[in-house]
Amino acid sequence: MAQRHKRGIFLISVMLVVLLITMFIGAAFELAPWAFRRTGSQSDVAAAQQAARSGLEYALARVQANPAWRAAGVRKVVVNDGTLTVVEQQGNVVGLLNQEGQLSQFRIRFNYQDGAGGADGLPDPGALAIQSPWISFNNLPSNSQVDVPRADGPNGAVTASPVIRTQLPPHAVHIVVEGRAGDWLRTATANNINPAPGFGTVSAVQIESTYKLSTESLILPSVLSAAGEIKTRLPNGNGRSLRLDSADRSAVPRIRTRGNLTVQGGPSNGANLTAARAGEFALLASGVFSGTRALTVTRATEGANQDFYNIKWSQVRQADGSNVMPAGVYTVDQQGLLRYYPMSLADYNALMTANPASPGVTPTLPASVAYTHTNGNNVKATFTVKADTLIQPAGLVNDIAIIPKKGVDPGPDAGSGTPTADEWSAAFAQPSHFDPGDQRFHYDANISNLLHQVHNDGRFNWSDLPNIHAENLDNANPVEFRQNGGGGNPQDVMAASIPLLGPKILAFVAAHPTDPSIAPALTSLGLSNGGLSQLPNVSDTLRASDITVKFKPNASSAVLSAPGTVTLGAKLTGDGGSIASAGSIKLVGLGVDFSATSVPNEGVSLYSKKDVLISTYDSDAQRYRDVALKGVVYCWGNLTAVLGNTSLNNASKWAQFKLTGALIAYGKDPEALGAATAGKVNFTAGNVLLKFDPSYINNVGIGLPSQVKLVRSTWEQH
Amino acid sequence: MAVGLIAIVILSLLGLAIRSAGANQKSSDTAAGALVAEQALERLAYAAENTGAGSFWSTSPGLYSDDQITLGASTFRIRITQAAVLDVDGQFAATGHRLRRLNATVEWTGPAQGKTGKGALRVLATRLVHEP
Repeated sequence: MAQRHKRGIFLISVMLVVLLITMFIGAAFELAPWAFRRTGSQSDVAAAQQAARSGLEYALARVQANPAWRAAGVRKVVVNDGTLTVVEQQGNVVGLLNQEGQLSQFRIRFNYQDGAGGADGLPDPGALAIQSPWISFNNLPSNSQVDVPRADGPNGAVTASPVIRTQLPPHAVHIVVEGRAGDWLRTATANNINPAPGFGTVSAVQIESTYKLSTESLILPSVLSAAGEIKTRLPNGNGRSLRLDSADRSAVPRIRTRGNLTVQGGPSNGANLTAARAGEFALLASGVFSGTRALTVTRATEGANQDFYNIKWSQVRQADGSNVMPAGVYTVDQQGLLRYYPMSLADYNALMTANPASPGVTPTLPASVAYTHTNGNNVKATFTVKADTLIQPAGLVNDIAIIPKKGVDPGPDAGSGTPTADEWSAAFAQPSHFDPGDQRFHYDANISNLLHQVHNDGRFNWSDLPNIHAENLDNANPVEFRQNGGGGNPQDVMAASIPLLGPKILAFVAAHPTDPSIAPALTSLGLSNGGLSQLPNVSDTLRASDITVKFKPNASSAVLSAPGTVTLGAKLTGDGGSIASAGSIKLVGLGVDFSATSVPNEGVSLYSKKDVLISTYDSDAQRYRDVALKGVVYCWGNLTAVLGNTSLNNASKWAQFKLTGALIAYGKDPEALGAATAGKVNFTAGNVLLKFDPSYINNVGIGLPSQVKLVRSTWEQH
Repeated sequence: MAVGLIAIVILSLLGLAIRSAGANQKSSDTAAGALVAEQALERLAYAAENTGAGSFWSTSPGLYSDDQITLGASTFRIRITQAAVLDVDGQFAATGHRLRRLNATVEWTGPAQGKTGKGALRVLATRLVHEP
């Protein structure tokens, strides 16, 4: 009995022990793989987190370099240095980080993946498609709030009526970065940077962050921005003013300048600086306002380091070369005959002065430009620009001029500003100064006198121009340039050195603006009145008032792009037009009525790397014609608008300058460092009406400075 | 016989438990190392983004720092190197738009620090940082 009792206890004990062992073994098998796996999993999560942060840093660097960045465009390997590969395609970004074989990935999607023609304006990103519902959105360039959707549709698409994830304020960017890590990334390469995860766990982390522009990064909106002085000359009398207005009731009509602001003329007992609603002019603390302001216009302080609207040449739409038109001078005579001279306007003036019967050649115009004219005693000629047209250099000639055969009379005071260094140089290098007989450049007494003065002032010496010896520089004889080394064609060799002369003369003129040698030299070099003049030797009755250059685009817009100066001795009209010039723009004729298109990414009506001159003198009627411009007018140099003259006592003969959009005289290349060297604005007009319309600014995405500072407003990791 | 069997099972179980505990310990150590690496990178990234053109952006690529910190019973050696990230368009080469890569290596060794298992432990971490 006792033996049986012992066996029973032993059996129960064994069963209990076996039960305990079974439980332990079960727990151990449950725990052990997890414990072994956990090390790898934790490091993957950490790597995914760092990858997400890296993606955010990458996006911020891209946005700071280009505030409109959203990775748009065809597939592009942006970085590929062996340890980091980043590919962008149609709004999506995938980056692959490799640290000693430890791989992690970040992904960002701006693309709605809703097909071409969808709300994002992007085609689908192909192999860079991302199924995540989190959408990034760059709203930095915009002045308006936007809804950022969630991508809840099939295959990660944003549907037509999406759930709104967040509302993004103007001038903000919302970036969602997904960081991922794991062994499955081993198959990822630059060519296959977005592989689908295979079997196993994918460690993923999302960082969602919103950044706003810092206050100092915001451009202070303005209808007129000038790096230099702004001068407005009005006729005396009531109702004459420089008047500010705004198409957007929430936007203050504002003038900004780093120089002085002067408004002359207008009412004897009233304001000559007025505003339709509360307006403002901003000057540096040291800036001086001369004029009489209305009570609705207040003075503000301009920050010395505050940027103006910064539009790079590359941001301006250019003709692509589908239609090309050779540079040179196109003339129309009193019979409506169109002729072409493959030379600069100064050389044309010299040629026709010497030989008024020079016939030129009959041009072949591109399909984008049509020329028509009426017949009879009073010929009217019209150039119709129907599509983008690229002016193509003709030899050394980059400029284009469309003028009457007799030339144009810009009226008194037009182009009285000093030429740029490049214009001085170009004038000295004109082929008309070169004599093939003795292979020298010759300069008349007026030009030589200026060179003597520059030399005497210590700013120009014989050795300053490589391969050129300047004969007679230190005596009273006419100066000649002869080749002194360098080999090759003497004219080409010397023409290559002459650009060094322009800055020396410009420096002299700046130091001695009233030196009596300057004005005669300007005339001899064809630089007075902006190089524009009527040719007394040419007997032809057609005038600038008889020619119209009309932009009538077949599509939404048409741009005329030129590598040099654009001179139109004609009336300029049309909607959806744009002129982009790497030189100056000179509009001299029977007025301007010209509008840029208002579709996105277009909005610039005139863009010049140098100066803009507008003069509407009608020499037959002895009066000026109105100017109406819509869009953004932008120049790196000075803007001069001559729509009146104090010698005309009758104020009714002065014309009105009206701009709707924004005008910027930036004063230098917007991409260049350093202080502005130009940027003056001079109006001479019966009235000047400046109406701020920010829609044109938004359309070209230029409401931002070239470099922005961002401030984080939200940050979330999930 | 049964007692022997039980002993074998218990010993096996004990071995498995010890090994599991070792893995747990390594996991904890690695997590600690990863945390150290992450903190080091975060601290440097914060300094780089908030000191403008300060010392970080004026240094040459290569070893940026080599420090040791003690966390509990462990002494971690943290080396951070930095390298410029260059894009095909050269945007990241311009001052104000620069992007750099930080690589952190955290190592800790030695039985005195109570490591289980064999050899040293090493954790890597990397991240990018942009110029403010």
